[in-house]
Amino acid sequence: MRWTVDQVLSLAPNASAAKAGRGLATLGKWASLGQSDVAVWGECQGSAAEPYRAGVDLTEPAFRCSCPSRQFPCKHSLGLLLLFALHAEAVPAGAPPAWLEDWLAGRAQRAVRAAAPPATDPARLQEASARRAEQRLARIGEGIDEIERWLADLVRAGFRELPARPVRYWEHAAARMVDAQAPGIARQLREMAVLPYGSTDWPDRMLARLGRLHLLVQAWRRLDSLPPELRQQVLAEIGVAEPAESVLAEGRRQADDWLVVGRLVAIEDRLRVQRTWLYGLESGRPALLLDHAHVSQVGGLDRSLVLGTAFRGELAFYPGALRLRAVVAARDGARPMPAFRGDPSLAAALGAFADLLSRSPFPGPAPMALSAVVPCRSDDGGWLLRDVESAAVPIVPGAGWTLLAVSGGAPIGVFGEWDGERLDPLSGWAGGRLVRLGTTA
Amino acid sequence: VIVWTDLLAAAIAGTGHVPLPASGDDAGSPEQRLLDAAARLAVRRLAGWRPPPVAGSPPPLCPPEPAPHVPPAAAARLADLLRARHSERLPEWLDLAGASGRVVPPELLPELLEAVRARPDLRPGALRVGGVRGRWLAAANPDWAFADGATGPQHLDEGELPQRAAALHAMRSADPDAGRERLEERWAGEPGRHRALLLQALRTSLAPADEPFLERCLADPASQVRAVAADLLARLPESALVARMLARAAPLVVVGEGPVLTVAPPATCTPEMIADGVEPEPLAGVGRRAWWLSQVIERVPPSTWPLAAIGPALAGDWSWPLLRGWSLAAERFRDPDWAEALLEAWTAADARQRWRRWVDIHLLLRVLPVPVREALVVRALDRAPDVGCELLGWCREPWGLELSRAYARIAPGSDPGALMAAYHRCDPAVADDLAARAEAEGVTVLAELASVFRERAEMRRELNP
Repeated sequence: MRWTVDQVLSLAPNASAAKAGRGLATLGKWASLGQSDVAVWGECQGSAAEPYRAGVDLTEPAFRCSCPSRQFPCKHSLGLLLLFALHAEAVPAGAPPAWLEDWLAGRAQRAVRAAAPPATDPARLQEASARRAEQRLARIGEGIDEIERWLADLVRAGFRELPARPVRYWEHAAARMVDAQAPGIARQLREMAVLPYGSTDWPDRMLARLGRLHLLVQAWRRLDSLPPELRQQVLAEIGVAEPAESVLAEGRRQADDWLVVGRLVAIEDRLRVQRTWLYGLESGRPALLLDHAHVSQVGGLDRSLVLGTAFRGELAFYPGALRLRAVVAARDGARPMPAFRGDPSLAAALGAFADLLSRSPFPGPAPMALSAVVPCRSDDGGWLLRDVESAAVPIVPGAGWTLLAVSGGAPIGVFGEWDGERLDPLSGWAGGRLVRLGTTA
Repeated sequence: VIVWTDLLAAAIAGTGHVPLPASGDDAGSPEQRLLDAAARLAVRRLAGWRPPPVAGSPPPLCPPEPAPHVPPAAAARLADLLRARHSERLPEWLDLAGASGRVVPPELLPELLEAVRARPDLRPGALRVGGVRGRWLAAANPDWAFADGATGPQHLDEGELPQRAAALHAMRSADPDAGRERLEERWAGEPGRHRALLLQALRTSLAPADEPFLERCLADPASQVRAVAADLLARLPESALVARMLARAAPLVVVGEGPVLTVAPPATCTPEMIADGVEPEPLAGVGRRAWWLSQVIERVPPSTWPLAAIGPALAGDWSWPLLRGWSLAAERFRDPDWAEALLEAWTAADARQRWRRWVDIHLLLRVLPVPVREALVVRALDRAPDVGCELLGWCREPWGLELSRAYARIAPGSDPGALMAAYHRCDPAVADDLAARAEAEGVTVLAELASVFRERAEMRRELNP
């Protein structure tokens, strides 16, 4: 796969690494260079006596460098891949050198292993995890009792009191839910805490959020009587996540050409949470990959999937009625996104959302892909996406001008997250290119 | 059945303060019943959302863009420059990209237009690389109205004085006679200050056809208007005013064999001289006769005299009025031979004479064609670096390779003005020369300069891979 400059720069852990990488993307900086079908490598003279040896596995991409930098990927790796993106023809073809050969071979083996389930003693593992799960459910139960009383107190006092409440009113309740191992509820409380400082119709939103949180609490009370898929979705919404290993071992699989159409990084409780959205070219099925890293950790988030690329591969889906969250079980090398797939009209997209809701009343940020919409201003100065049937959906306004610029007044493809009120556009597809929208990398 | 608005009213007031409206199912606490109903209705509202009807028509379709996009690496560079506030490289990037004939990819247009909103000097460059799509986009946002170039003829009649003057300048570039006639139509109704400023627009595409109108302006009641008219007429070599001045100047400075210079400054400043723009009261510290002499000479083509007159003039008693007059005349009549000779004389003169400032360096440098100008500055740099650096500060276009090398040969960094100019205009190809010298001499400022030049060279490569 030939990586574009944009894509390479999006892999940089921060802006200064991107800048340093760009400084190394000239032929003069490299003592030797080489490429094969799957890799590119080179020796870069740095401040040390020995040149640093950098190599990139082009299929993912994956990076390796002998420099002591703790940034990942380091500036040498980035510079090497940038150089390759710019002047591939100037890099001589050949067999990888010995120092790279071992690493490449190791990676190929791991890729095979990852596709197979892990070999452990299943009986012992199950017993230990069952005991842990039981303890955890007990703690969640205590937390749910508390939040139910807290909700009743809030409703009794009325929303009028909320704007005057101190931050700790919400934060204390959220921290309690984290302690009770119900981080999903903590997240909802923190989202609700900022509502009174938003638009004037915040009580409307607050009531809707309270209603859905109450629904979650009631669903927990009736957990045993729920169908298995919905039960798992309720647990996921509370924050009980299935380990990725068991999803890989037991999750339902779907093979497809997966398009990487959206990426968003949000800060939640000292964690950076990355949502990567995929869309199946054949199946038309959306999938969500989640990754977490502590805010103090440099890099940390998996950036191996690059917005605007596609790969042939198999996803394993987490259990649960939404069937959205997944992990990558197996994948071939990345290639530029060949096409965009989405719903042809807003009515169709809303139909898909209603279908999602019919499976679970907890849809989270839902994927919405519209294949032909024109951005335009609304009467109140906001932005809309207008479809071929002249139906329009309001969008989060930040990316309005960029969308209009990209479209030139013609229909474009837009992928974003739908919260039931507004679409938050994450990417736009025009002229055979996917353009990243919004400010998060 | 309870409806959402009733539920909302109860939730805002609080179930502890107001009773919940009755519904069919009254089991459980009021809080429980409110939350149950909210849960049901919230999901129903979410699933049942329908798009509101849209009024109006979608935006007009943008015409196709004939120019190709800049290469991806160059676009990534522009994105960096736009996100770093007050970037020093942005003007250069816009120039280079504009010269390459390419346009920026559409997703960068909003940031680009926003960045040049506060930088009118960068707007033409930004609009050039914005291409068809950029203008189309700007038309949709009142904040970017500058893009439609507020210089149409209609702007001559409305708006602030500077906009009106700009509109007149634009008209003069397109059709000089129409611009002048338009000005004449409005002439009577304008106050004196406005007349003076608008009249200056005739400097754009000034031609003999403007002379009758300008001659009439010499009788204008406002002195500012008379001064502008006299100045403009003194820029038309064939004008009657220049002929009158020539008649006055010929006996004042006579060049004989040798050459020997005979100078006879005017004894009086006649009313006719004043009517032709000569200012009777001298600048502080200047003698009256020297002042009048200088002003007559500056309104006569310098080629009236041989270039060889400069040497004796420098050595003589009347050097300041003569050389100042010739310098202004060389600029007025765009005479590159005289401009070059005067600049040569200035760079070769000793410091005491240079200090007397009889040359407006930057005006004269602009009279010279770029190759001539650069060769002159190279000679000056090699002869006396401090004098050369003073000239360099006024070389506003990107420097050629020879000039850049000459700068790298001297001790760059010693003159702050030239250093600032070098950051932006020096040909980055000399980066390696500078880096080598930085290493050899341990001068940090040279190493910094070399790295700036590398970045600038990189920008060029990205745009023309």
